[in-house]
Amino acid sequence: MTDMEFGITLTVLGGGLTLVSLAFLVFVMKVLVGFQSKAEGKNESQSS
Amino acid sequence: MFDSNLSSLFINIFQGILGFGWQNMVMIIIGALLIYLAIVKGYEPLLLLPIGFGAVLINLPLNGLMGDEGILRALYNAGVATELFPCLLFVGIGAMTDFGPLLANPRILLLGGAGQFGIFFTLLLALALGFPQLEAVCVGIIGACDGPTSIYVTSKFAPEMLGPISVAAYSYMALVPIIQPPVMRLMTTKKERQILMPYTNMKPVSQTTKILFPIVVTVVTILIAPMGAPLMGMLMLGNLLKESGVVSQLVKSAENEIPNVITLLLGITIGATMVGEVFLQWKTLAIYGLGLVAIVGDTAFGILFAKFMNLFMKQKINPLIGAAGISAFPMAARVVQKVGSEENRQNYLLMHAMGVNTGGQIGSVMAASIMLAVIAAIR
Repeated sequence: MTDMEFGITLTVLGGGLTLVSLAFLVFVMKVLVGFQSKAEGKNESQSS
Repeated sequence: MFDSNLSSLFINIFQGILGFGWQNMVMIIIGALLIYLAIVKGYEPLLLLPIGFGAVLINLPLNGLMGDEGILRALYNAGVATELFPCLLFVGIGAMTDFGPLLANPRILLLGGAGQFGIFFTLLLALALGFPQLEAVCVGIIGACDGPTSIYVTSKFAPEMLGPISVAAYSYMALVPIIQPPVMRLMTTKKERQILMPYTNMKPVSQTTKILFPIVVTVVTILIAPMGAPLMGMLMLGNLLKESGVVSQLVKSAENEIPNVITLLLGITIGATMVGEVFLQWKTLAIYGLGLVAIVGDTAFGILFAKFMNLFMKQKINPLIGAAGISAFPMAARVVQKVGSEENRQNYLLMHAMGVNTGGQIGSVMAASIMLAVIAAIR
């Protein structure tokens, strides 16, 4: 593998996978915050 | 007989002076310059001061500090060669970071990823300039704008470059308020810089979510990129200590004593790698030039990605916050606030930028972890 092939592979795979992983993490965070909203809604309805 | 004894006595007494060459002199001047920048200019003094002193110390002839039984060699072997010091620093960073603004608006995490693209751009440039593959990776990682990550990757792939890369990484982090604003103005129109970002649509984040966050991120990211476990694991451990609210003594240590001691030991040890014969090469100048390119590239890519996200969003974001995607925390967020408020006094971007900035910390660790995994796979 030449130096440039190495660099391009690392850029495409490394950069691409970083963004995909972070996008997945965004999804996980949204689920986490979504659970929080649901739990808060449940608590509010129980207290009222 | 007497003459030969006298001359050997003379050589023994003055062997330090006799072994003092021009490279030692230049390196001592560089060490003194770092000390000056730390004390007088206030540039990252916690690290640049011990690095500068380490550079002075190690370039005094016959000091033996980095010899087989030298004290700095022992520190180097224990903390840098094992990657222990940068990992322990991450405990402190985690304990000092509030991921609340990021959790309130999770999609800005993507800007923290875009802010790492200077790494890859610089990697390609370094390869084009003739750096060997693994050294080019270490030069590119300056673009993570994250000192411990740069040290971690460099000590793995090119430990002989630890001095110039660490000094470049920390110097440029200190220079973020000078480097970023011109790039931010160049990459945005006045109208874009004036976009207001309200806080009304940011959901308050509960303590339970803040406690779950470091655990969930640890599990998810290490499943994706196991090689980043030491960095992400320590970062999230520090954050869990902080958010748990039950270990105030440990949080105090993680925020103060641990990073302070480690920074001192790390600084002096990095300084001890700055030996004239290794440091005074064309490569060092190239590393400094490429480090600047990396941070300018990160800033530009972060802003461009924010503009790209605006194509799909009803509530537009101010593209300036993309510049906070670099990991330099919290300087980059403060710079965004300053540039934004200069354009529109009602523009209060700080919390949004803080969210992106903490996303940049996760992004830089993630980018480094994935690079390690890809390199292990393709080499």
